[in-house]
Order: sequence, then C-alpha cells, then structure tokens
Amino acid sequence: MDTTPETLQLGPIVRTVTRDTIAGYEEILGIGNPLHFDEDYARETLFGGIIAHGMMSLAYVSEMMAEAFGAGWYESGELDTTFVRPVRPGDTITTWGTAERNMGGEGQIRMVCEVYCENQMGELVLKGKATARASAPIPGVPTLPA
Amino acid sequence: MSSEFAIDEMEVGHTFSPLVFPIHEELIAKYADTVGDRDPLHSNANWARRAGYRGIVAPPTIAALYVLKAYRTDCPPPRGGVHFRQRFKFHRPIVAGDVLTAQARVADKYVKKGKLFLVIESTALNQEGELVVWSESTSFWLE
Repeated sequence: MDTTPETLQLGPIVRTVTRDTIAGYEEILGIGNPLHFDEDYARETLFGGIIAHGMMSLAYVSEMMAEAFGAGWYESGELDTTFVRPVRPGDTITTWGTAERNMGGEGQIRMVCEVYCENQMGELVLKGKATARASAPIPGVPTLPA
Repeated sequence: MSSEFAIDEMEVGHTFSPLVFPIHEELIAKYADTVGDRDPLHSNANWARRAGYRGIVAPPTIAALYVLKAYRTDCPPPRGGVHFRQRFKFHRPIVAGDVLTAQARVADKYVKKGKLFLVIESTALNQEGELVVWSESTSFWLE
C-alpha cells in the first residue's frame, strides 16, 4: 500500500562553519583554491575574505535528503543548487526544505523538494531543487534512537 | 593570471583525461567528519551491512572530491574559481572499496559581465563500469 505522505518538512540541520572546518574541507579536497585558505588573497577579491566551499553547504542538503529518503536518495537522488551568497567563517548555516509527493513516469513516486541553506542573518546562501524516489525503508534496517 | 589558464583555450566538448579515484573507509570517515555527517552508515561497517549495503556507505556528495579534480587532470585552471551552480544525479551508492573513474568534459563556456563561466559535465563509473554519479558544475573566475 502506498503510504507516502503528500508533503513533508525537511530538516533543519544546523551547522556552524569555522576556519577549521573550511581548512579541513580544503585539505581533503586538495585543489588549492586560495579563496578558501589565503586571507590576503581573499581580502582583495569581491568577497573581502575567506569563504567556505559551496560543496560544504551542499553536503548538508544531501545529509538532510538522505535522512528523509535513505536508499531513495543514494540510488536516485537529483539535485540542482545555486550558491547565492558566500558562507564565511563563523556563520551558522540552517538547512531545511519542503517536499511534495509527485507521481513521476513509470508509476514511480518521487518527492520533489525545495531546499535552502540560510545563515544566522536569515539570508539565503544556497537554494535549489532536489528529488528522490520515495523509497520504503529497507526491511530489518535498524532506526537510530532520537 | 590568464597565462596559466589553458582551459580558456579548450573547446566545448573537450574531454579531460580520466581520474581514477579509490574510495577508502578512512576517506569516507574524514569526509563525513569534515561536513559533520554523523550517520553511522558512514562509519560503522556492521551497521551498513545490516542496512543492506556491501560496506560503509559514502555520503554521495563525496563526489565533490573527484568531480572538481576531474577537470584538472590535464592542466590547472587559474586561481580563484567561484563555484556558482551544482547539479548531481546519484545512481548508485558509493561503498568503501569502490574504485571510481571520473571523466569530465567542457559542456559550455561563455563570458558574462566580463567573467569567464565554465560548465563542466562529468560522470563517474565504478569498478563494474556502472554509472554512479552524473555531475554538472558551473564556475566563474575572478581573474
């Protein structure tokens, strides 16, 4: 039986981005973009200082989608996001979204989501759309205690 | 800086050399820790197996680590790229032990407000040759 809800609220996930997190991401990515580690360089750009990787905010969106849709996200997730404002060291990013049930082609039910990241001033830093198959949980999968 | 910017000489359709990218448990753990994702699927192999996976599952956005490298295999882009838009389609879970091969191509290239924009499309296949991730990254350059 189809018990997929018509709408869902997603998140929120709240994360504070620090110089250490940005340095950690830069280290693991390893492509050496000075916007993310060179304060002197970054100060002279239109950003006026170091900014975080857009891909980090996107990771929060993906975590939120995985939490809501599990295997449906890993196996059929689609994401289209725009980085609308920079994330700076010290920013607290709240990631949230709304999902709506949509009957896609081939009878597959997909959840169509609007996703957002905003900073502590309530300004959007990322916005986009994401969709995932509305998969039932895999039988026997333990659920996390709250 | 334009002297080191060989990408601006590349035509739309240019395909970069493939990047082989092994996914290890340590890499998954480090990535998940860096982005603050504490789902035990990313750190506990038993948990992941009970959930029906072959092993520890990577957050799918670990793709960032190879799609941004996949268009740097032939020549480095200039300093100061600004990531503007990102699209992903995830087709299969990425599990520790997978060896991915990512390949990027120039999907589009244009100048807007005096800045060079590049749209890079890339795909990653696993060791079985199965499509794992499709990606489209749009960036512009400050210099």
